[in-house]
Amino acid sequence: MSKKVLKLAGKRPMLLAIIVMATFTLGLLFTGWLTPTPVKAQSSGGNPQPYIETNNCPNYVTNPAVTCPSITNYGAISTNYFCMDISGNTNRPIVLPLPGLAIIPGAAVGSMVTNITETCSNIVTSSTNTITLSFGALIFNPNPTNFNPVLPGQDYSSACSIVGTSSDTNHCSSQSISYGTVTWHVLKTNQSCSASGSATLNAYFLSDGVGYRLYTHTLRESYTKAYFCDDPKEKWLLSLSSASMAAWHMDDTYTWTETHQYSFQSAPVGMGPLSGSNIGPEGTDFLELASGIWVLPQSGLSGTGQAYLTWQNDDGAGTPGYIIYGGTITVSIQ
Amino acid sequence: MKLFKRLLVHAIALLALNCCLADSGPTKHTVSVNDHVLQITLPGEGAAPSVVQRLIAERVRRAIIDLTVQKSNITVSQETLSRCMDLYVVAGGESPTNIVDVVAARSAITIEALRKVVVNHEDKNDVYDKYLSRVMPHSEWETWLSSNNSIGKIDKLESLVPHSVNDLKRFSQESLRRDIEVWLLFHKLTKEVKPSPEEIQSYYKEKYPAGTPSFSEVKSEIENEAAKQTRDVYLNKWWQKQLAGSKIEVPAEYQNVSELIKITPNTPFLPVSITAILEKIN
Repeated sequence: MSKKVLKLAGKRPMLLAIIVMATFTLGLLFTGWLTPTPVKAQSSGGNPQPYIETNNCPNYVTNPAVTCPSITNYGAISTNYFCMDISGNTNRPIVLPLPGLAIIPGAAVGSMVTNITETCSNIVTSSTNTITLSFGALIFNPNPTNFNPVLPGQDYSSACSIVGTSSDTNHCSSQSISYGTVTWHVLKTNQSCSASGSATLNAYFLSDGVGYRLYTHTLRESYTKAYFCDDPKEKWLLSLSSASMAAWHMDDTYTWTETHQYSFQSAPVGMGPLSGSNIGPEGTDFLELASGIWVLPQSGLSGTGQAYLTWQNDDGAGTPGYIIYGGTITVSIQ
Repeated sequence: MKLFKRLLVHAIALLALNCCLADSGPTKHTVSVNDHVLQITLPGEGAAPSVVQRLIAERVRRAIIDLTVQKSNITVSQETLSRCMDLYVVAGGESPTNIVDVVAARSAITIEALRKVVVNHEDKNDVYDKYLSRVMPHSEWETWLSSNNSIGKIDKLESLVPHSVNDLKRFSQESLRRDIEVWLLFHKLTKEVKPSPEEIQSYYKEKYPAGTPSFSEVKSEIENEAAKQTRDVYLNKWWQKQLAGSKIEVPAEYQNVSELIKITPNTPFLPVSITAILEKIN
């Protein structure tokens, strides 16, 4: 067989050369030396790229022009402050409200030019694709659901942002918009408060067998702090009422009257006993007649109680007492 | 004899009631406590029924307490009274000299104003505006006038004005003596009345059902409050017992004062400096 081939090669040397060349070329192809390799396209583009081809003229892809999308409207959230009333409940986990998008953000559409060059013919095919940003939901960090429990009198804050996800993250990255901090200010309404002052009241009665007497005089200011949210900030009001207390001894046949004046009032207001009688255990309460006054908080707010005593003499007459000390008590309301 | 006394009391009460209806001035009422007859003069015209009831109730209560003090043989020596008075006049935070000065000065201007109206017949409002408008409310001036409408009453008033610390003590000692006597009575009644450990724990659980703060944190507060509550309960029972054993007669129209009479009496207010002495002598 080999002798026959050599004879034929001697007779047709050109045919032999062609066969050898063809065999060599096919060998290279099968061993992969001349196989086109796919390469990731680069946003910068420009350089010829091999392209998978099924024929022997590989195409090359380039991206000579890539324009990423740009944010043209950063948008806005509906609010960055929530004043919340938890209605007197304490230590209660609650679901915090979330801001929405008052203005939806927007971005100009980007583009990417793709050129495909056929190497054999050197024909270039060009096409243009768009690249967009898609905005998702608002993101909070930390997540408000992690605020548990939500306590009155405290503020809770989260960083708020939104992400525009790129439609072609190989060429254009996603972008984030920050909306700063969102704060949840938690209130507890209707807090009952009280403050009191006390003094030993010295009184002198020009009455037979009475003279100098000591009494306990107490003024208690009771008030309700009524917080409420007045967008965007909180407001609070005070509901005021006052009580004065005097030890009412059964053998002291005096009449104790009391007036009361808040610092914002121009004249004192009379107080009356809470109970029908003026005989009672120590701490008989008097209440300002004009109770339940609503005022805005103000500096220097106080209440002043002023006691007046009259001794009821055995003959039915009354002798006003000279109050030397302790007749006036001022209590600060905060 | 008792029936006669009772009839007499009722007769006096009826007479007093008739006087009351005929005259708009101060009215006299007669009540009796364990057959001790009390003449009670009450403000007449303008006195609210609640005021009248209170005054009647106070006098009745006072009479029961006084009788109990007498039965208990509680007495206050002059030495103890003087010692307590020395403490009493300084316990209010003012110096006795200053008290005398204030009372004398205010009395001088009040008595002068009263004389101008009662003796010189000057207009009461003019006198008030000129002398007293910065010293007392107008209603107080009216009270002074209504109760001192004669020269004799103004002279009496003037005799009660202290001009020295000794006067101050002298004019005040009777009311202090009574405070001390009543204080000693209530102290004697309740000094051995103390809450049991179980009652203290029960009080704590009632006040702090959640268990916070812990008992050890508020032990002192709880013990004091529980002790006061126990004393109050004891005194209330004692008082209702006294009332049940007393014969109290009041005019028919004031029968409802019984509700006021039932209220547990208070322990008179005395400064700690005085109660410390009284606890030692009893």
